[in-house]
This record gives sequence, structure tokens and C-alpha cells, in this order.
Amino acid sequence: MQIEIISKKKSDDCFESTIAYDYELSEPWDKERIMQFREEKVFNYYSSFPKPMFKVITVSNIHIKGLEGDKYCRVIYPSDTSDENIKIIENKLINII
Amino acid sequence: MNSSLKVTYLNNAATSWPKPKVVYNGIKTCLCNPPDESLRSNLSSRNDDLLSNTRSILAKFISAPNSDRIFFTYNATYAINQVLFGLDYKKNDLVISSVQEHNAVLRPVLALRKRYGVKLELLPINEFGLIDINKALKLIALKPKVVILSHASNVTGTIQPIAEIFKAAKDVGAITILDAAQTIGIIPFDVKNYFADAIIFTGHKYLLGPTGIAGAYISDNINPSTLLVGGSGILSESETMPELYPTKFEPGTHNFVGVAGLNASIKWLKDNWDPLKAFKWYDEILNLLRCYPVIIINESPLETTPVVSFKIKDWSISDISYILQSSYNIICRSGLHCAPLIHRFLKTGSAGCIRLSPSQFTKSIDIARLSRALDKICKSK
Repeated sequence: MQIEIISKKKSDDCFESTIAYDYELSEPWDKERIMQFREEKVFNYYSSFPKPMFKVITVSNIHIKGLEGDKYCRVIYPSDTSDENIKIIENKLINII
Repeated sequence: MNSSLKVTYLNNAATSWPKPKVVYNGIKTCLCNPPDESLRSNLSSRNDDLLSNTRSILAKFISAPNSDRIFFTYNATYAINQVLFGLDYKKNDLVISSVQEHNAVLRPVLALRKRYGVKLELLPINEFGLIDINKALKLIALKPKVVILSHASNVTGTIQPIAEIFKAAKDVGAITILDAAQTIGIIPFDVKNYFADAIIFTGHKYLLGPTGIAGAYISDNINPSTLLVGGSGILSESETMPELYPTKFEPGTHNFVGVAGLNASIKWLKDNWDPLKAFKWYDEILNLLRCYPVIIINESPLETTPVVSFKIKDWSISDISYILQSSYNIICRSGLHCAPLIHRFLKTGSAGCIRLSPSQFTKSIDIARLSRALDKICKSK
């Protein structure tokens, strides 16, 4: 089944020079989809939390974090991120590579 | 948020939660009954309507001599803007504030500089978040027009020596404005102790009321112009807002629901106020954090509000916050806390810090949950 972005809303993450969005997806994150990020610049997977957490930093310094089993994730874009790069990340969230 | 877990709420310095049950009931009662305002209906007399009664009990709570000098707004930022921009300025008037300020103060004073060409001086703080009193006294000797300070920083909680600074400011004829959003309701507060011409309060923090209700107490020393004009319920034939306090600052329909909630919370606080409980949890959180490789930003020997700000070695602030909230349902605040300048002095950089702020409703289970989360986080790297 094609995964979709159900909602995208600005997060109140209060950090300098970034724009953070919380995405709600139609399917929860499973390990296979999380592992697609292994090739990114930084990939961390913390299995010790009630739901394992993943944290990714792309070459464009975009941060993606979420929990395995959760439908949500947060993406923090540098404020100068282009629409094209945002689209690339959003496609990755729904697994279109 | 993980919906299968109960919420541990440690963000009371932003908005307190839960509220006393009487607050929920007060709001419900307000919504279920006809609006109660003497100026625009005949349901109650001038002196016992909801607005007058709330002003009266709030005045008693903060020992203000005249409840009519309390006006309500929708938040503290609005009240600060009303007072600050209601004053007259000339180019090169000196305005003094500090680097600890929340943007609720900082942005308005920066806007004053841009709009009127006032000179703005921001007092530095030391490593404990305390304003440099010597620097303050030196600048005050230059006879500022306005000195506006927060009673306590929302990041460090450090209680500032307001009486000493404002006394000096009054001695040279300055107008003194105190943002007490972080202190009223959590430390004993008597308006007469601070030499303040205006005191800003908010209902939704330690006064335990709902959001959307705040305001200011204005002393007889100043008479700011009103920023917004509109319906007042009295003197409707006049082309201008009535000069009558507090009506001149309250155009339009009041937030009755917010006032009702605040009324209930202040009455509850009168009999149940117990800030020591919040400080007990503050001490427990500090003791807990000391067990981990954590940098406590605001550990100091000074008097503070019950807020603990910290960083964890090798973890980004954003990630800690995300884990606490998403994995453990621990509601806290992270980042710059809308106080961008203070982080330069606290060496917390552009990422800021995590802030935990308990209340008297915090429970031991909340601290146990926090302990479990910190344990996992600190052992994960």
C-alpha cells in the first residue's frame, strides 16, 4: 500500500535558523523503512527506548527523527532549504526513492 | 506523544497544568450562564460582577492598593505592549532592560528603539543569571526614561534584585515596569515591595488560571495612553475611549471565560497556595539530574523559581526533548525559550537547553518516569 502524508504542521521547536515540521503518515514506521536512511550522512538507531528512536542527518543538514511503530516524525530543515529539497525528503518519508 | 502512557507534565513555567478542579468548574459555570458584566447588562451590580470581583481578589493576592488599576488583556505580551507603547518617548530617551528577557519584553523594547530612536541598554547577567547590579546603577545614573525588567528569567528562574534597581530608578524619575509573569503565584508577591509603576501578570502560569487572561497593575504614578480603542460599555456617545480605569485599557468584549477561570484559581490559591511543594519537586529534579552526565545550566545559590534547565553530554537538545515527549510523554520545553540573548551569557549557544518546571501538582510518579527516561537516554550513547 502506498504510504501517504496525512498531515504536516509546523512544530514549536524553538531553535535558531531552522523550520521544523511534524509529519503524520498513513503507516507507522517499521524497521525496514527506517533502515533506508542508513546511507545518509548520519544515522542513529536507539533501540533501548519504549519505542526505538531513529535520527538522521542528511548531506543537506536536514534532521529527521521518529519512533519505530509511530506514524509521526519530525523533520528540521535549515531555513534556506529549497522547496525541491523539501520535496525530496517528503518523498523519502513515504518511501519513494 | 505516546498515547498509551500517562502524561508527566513538567512545563509549568510555560503554562501550568493541571489546574485546580474549581477552575474547570468556574469556566463551565461561566459558559452555562448569561454573561455577567454590570457595564453592559443588569445582571449584577457594579461592585460584585465577575470582572470587579476578580480584580478585587487579584489585588488582594498581590497586595495592590487599588483594584481599579488592574486591567485585563489576553496575554502578558499584550499588557507589556499596552504599557510600554502607551508612554511618550523622545529621540535618545534611555530605555534599560536586560539580556535575560523573554521576547515578550525584548521585541517591544527593540521596536521602541526602531520606532522612536530611543537608546536601549541591555543589562548583562552573571553565570547564575543575576543582573549586574553595579552596571544597572551606573546606567540608572544617566536618568533613563524607562526601566523594564523581568522579575525572573524563564530560563534560569533567578529572582532579580528588582527592589534595589527600581528604587534607584524611581529616585531619578524613571518609569519602572516589572514583568512578573514568572513569579506571581509561585513566590510571595506584594506590589509595594518593588517600586514598580506597572506590574505585568499572566493567569495561565503559576496563578493556575486558563490561557487568554493576563494584564497589568498600573500605579498612580503613570497614565499610559490607550493603544486600542473601541466599545467600552460606558460613555458610548464619546468619540474617544473613556479615561476611566480600567475601562480605558479594555476595549471590546472581555474574555469572560478566562476571567471566570482566573477568579476560581485565585480563590483556590487563597486557601491552598503551597509553592513549597513545587520547590520540593524542583529539588528532587536537581538531585536526579546530578546522578547523570548532565550540565545543569541554572544551578546556583540564589533564590529562583522552580525551573531546572540542563543539557546532556553528547545529546542534542532537540533530540532529548523529542525522546522525552514522544517516547515517555514527558512534557518539557526545549530550545531558546523565546529568550535568545540569555543563551549567549549561559553559553548554551544557538541550541539552548531543556527546561523542566514542576508545580505543586507534580507527583512522585512523574519524577520516577523522568528518572527512567534519563537513565535510558544517558545509557544509549
